[in-house]
Amino acid sequence: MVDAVYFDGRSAQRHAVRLELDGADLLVSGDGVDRRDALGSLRISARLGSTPRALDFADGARCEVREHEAFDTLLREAARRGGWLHRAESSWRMIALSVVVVAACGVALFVWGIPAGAQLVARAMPDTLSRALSDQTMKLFDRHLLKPTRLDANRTAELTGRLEDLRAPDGAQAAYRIEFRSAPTLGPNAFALPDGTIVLLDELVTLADNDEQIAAVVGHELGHVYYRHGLRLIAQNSAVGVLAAWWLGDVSALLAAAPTLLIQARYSREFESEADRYAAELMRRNGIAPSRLAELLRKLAALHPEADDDGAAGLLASHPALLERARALDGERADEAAAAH
Amino acid sequence: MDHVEAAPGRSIEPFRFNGSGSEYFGIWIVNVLLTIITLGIYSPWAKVRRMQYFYRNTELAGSSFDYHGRPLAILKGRLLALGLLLIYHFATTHISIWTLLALAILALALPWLLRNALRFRAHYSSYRGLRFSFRGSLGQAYAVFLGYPILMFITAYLAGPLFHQRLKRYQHGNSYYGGTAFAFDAGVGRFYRTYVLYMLAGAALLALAFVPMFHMLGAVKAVQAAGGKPDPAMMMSAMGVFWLAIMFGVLILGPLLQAAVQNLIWNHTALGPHRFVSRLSGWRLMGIGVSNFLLVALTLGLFMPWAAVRLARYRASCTSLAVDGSLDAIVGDAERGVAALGEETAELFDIDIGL
Repeated sequence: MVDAVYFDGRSAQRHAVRLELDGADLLVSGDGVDRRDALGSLRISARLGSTPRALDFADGARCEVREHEAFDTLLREAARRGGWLHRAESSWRMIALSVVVVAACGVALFVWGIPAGAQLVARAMPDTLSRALSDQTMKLFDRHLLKPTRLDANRTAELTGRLEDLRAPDGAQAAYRIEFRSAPTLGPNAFALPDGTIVLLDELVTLADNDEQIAAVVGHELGHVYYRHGLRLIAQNSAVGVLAAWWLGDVSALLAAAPTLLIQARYSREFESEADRYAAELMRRNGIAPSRLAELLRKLAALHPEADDDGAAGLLASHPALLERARALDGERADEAAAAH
Repeated sequence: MDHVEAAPGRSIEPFRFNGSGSEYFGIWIVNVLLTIITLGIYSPWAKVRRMQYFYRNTELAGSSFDYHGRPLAILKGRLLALGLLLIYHFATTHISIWTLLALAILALALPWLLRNALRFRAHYSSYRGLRFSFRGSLGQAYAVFLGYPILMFITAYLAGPLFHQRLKRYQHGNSYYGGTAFAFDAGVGRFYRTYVLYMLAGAALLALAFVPMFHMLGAVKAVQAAGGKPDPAMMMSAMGVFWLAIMFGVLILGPLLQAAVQNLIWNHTALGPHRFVSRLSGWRLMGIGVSNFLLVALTLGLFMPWAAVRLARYRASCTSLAVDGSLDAIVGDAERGVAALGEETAELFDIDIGL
């Protein structure tokens, strides 16, 4: 026998009733109520925490039960149990396991899942779309950020000629287009657009000691193009934003922004290192010493002694520290030397 | 137990929230786990479970509320919302003649969708075996969800309180519990009186946040154009002021405004002869908000269930219903045949886009 509250579905009047089992029928009696219904005709809500359980009758009447254990016993007699979800939600072992699995999934998602997904998206992106995106970005930059180059026309023609002869690491003619611009606010910088447009800023061209250093920067930017870093970064950052909003957005959108920024910086650092390795390979293929890139990175670092990772050669400022990248390039050369012996 | 029936004349029935953080943690983490391993497909089921936990733990006069939303309808609504979001995204990133057309379609679809969401939410909520319902007209939906937002936009948010009043009048003034209507009687003047100080403070805060920022950006440009290096201390202080102003707005002004507006809305809402009473304290809400913010940040999100329960408990504890006579007198609407399982009517608007 279980105590319950009964509502007839037509008014908000409460009736204190008792529930009893008679074979496959449920008897509801007390406070002017007396009914018998087949258990199969009722909808019985699953347990959820210690909230009251509801029995919905076919005619719209309803019972609320708060005596969970007694009601479970009654249902067990009728072999109508269930509620595996409730058992999972109230078992400490299951909860601890959930925390561990969720944390592992979270880490796996950020380290492998999102980058892999973004790579698929970037590869599936049709060329027409990436060209349209690049055109639009270039127009936007030209309007707000960039000015025409002030370099001598002979100098740019000579540089373009030399740079267009560069071969990709696999020996193919690298498909790209060099654009010269000036931008005093950006300092010595270069960036690549998804369609293979590479923009060299005057400040970088004048900073470089020789054309091989400029070729090294172009190699780095070609790495971004080759691995489709621009598109992948957009896809990854959108995914991180959506996930952070889902995870933390209930409490505060402000809070959700913090992990987004941290993870985005990490992704972008990975891409810089990958582009550096590509540049090293490209330079070896073209008979240029990979140390040229390291030299230029050290020069850039010397310009900004107070902020080591500022004004680097790339689209975003969230690069690994320039000196760290220079050391990584040196290390690669040392490995290679060791392998040759 | 039957104190409602026993009370003659007016009695105050407080709302109570009976959930506990540790109990909800189990439900929440299992929801998260199942959502992850089903790649998100479980999330509507998770939402139903979450809503049911909060509804069923909310008690008034000895009975609990219940939520009957159906996961497949929610899934349908989410897919639709995602589709609209994608249309919006593509229409605004590639400006063409199609942009105007797409925006027009969205503007026309949105009021219809939001009205359906209100209907869904009301229809799938129940108390004592009777459903709630929302019966606002489609014409009014266009005025409220299209007309006033446009007005708000062209008046630089000066029409914000007017929009909020119209929204609440539409929402609360067209809702029913069983066959009994809700009523809403706060006028536009009251909304402006509640909002005015916060609007001034918000404008001052925005100026405080952005003026040093623009000043700094201008100075940096000038210094770099002259070939020098910008002063990092100046840049840091401008950024610092910006973030402090934003944090102050979100964590301090936000809850104060929220409490004042919630009190205004509920103290002017009635269900038949029964009036709601809301006594939220902005400072208490702020304390809960700030501590929730810090604890959620420190636990990388694991404190979320306790944060949600604390907030629900405080909100419920500040709300009550001044009952005139007895709630038992409320009856279902026989004409509309709104029974607890009257789901055939719901089929027509089976869409939920989380409002």
